[in-house]
Amino acid sequence: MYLPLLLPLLALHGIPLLGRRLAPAMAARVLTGICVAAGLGTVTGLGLVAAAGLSRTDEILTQAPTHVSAAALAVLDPVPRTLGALAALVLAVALTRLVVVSIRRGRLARAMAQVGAGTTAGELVVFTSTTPHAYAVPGAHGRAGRIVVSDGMLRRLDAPGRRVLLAHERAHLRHAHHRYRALAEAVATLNPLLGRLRDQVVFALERWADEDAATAVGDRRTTATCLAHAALATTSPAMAAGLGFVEHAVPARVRALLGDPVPTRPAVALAPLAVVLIGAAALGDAGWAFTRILAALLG
Amino acid sequence: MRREEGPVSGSRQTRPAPPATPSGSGGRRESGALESEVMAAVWAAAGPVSAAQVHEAVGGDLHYKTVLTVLTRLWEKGLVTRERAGRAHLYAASRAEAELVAEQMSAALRRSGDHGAVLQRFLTSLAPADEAELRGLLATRDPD
Repeated sequence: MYLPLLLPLLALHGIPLLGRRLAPAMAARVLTGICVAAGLGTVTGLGLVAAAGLSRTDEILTQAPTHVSAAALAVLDPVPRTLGALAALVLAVALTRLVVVSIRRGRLARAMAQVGAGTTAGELVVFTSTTPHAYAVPGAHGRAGRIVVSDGMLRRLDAPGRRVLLAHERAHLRHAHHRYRALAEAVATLNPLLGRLRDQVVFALERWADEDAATAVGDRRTTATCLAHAALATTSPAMAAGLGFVEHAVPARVRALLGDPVPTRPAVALAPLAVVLIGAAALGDAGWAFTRILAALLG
Repeated sequence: MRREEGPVSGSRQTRPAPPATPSGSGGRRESGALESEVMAAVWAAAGPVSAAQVHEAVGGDLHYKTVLTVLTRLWEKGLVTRERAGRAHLYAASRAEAELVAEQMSAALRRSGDHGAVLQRFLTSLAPADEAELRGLLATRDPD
């Protein structure tokens, strides 16, 4: 009964190792899949506990009607009503928050898609700002995406740096990375404990774009150098405390490019997929058992 | 020096295809990518630049004429201004357009929150330790 809730915790702890073993493109896809599964696990887990607690099965079960088998009863732990109510509350809050935040994010995405319409040079849109900015902005309604950059960013980069920047952002657009990102962010909103998993997805997407940029530029070491120079030229040291995983992303990205590329080995993806399938099976089993018991009790 | 404004509606020009390049030097650029790089080079420059300077910045595997054609196209779109300097032109980025875009950006960002989740940033901020590590990585990469 409580097994589906363990799934997100499993994901959280087992995953970082995975990110390193897979090529970035595969890692991003697999991590996003795991993220979605963990999110579904959260919802289903909470839902099952809530339903079990609130449907007063614990009271029904203590009376032990004879036509319900002992095995079926064993699957369904008696869930106290208060716990069920708490789970229902948590679930309701999480889902409401997800809807509200998603609407807000959708509004921003649509507004960004309109920025610079009619002033594009290729896919590049430049806006005036002394601070460095560079974003890959997907287009709305199937239109081509744009690379929105501030002149402050362009002024701080040399020609190879600009080439790497544009190739990197172009990769984000070409592979529709915003979709993976949106899924990961939605899951992290739903279950804040999965924030680190979202960070892993974001990092994998950046690595994917870095590798694509390196292919476009022709040399991984050159790309690494450009990235390092660009970071030193465009970012200021983080002053505040609370430096998370993401803050150390740039040196990790440079190191990865300087090192050997991870080959794409489909076999390695099988392990996490197995985990996801087992988790889904556990979810399905718990849900199915619950419905059978409800049917037996009501029938 | 006369400052020329581009026509409001760009005229169609047949543009020569960029020459094919060996894959080692970065591969063949699509025309969209070419425009982006030329535009970026013009913005990055401290002041008005000639087509030759842009050609040098953007990369030796392109013909000078290709770069000139792209610059002319950008001028027709109103994204760069040009002024005559001797026999050639000097090109500069059109700040007016970019300032309009900056306003659009501000408006878009003001209206909705949660930017971090929607906008994918090229580089995250560096901690002092990150900075030191990067300098270290660069030092080992090219020893002087």
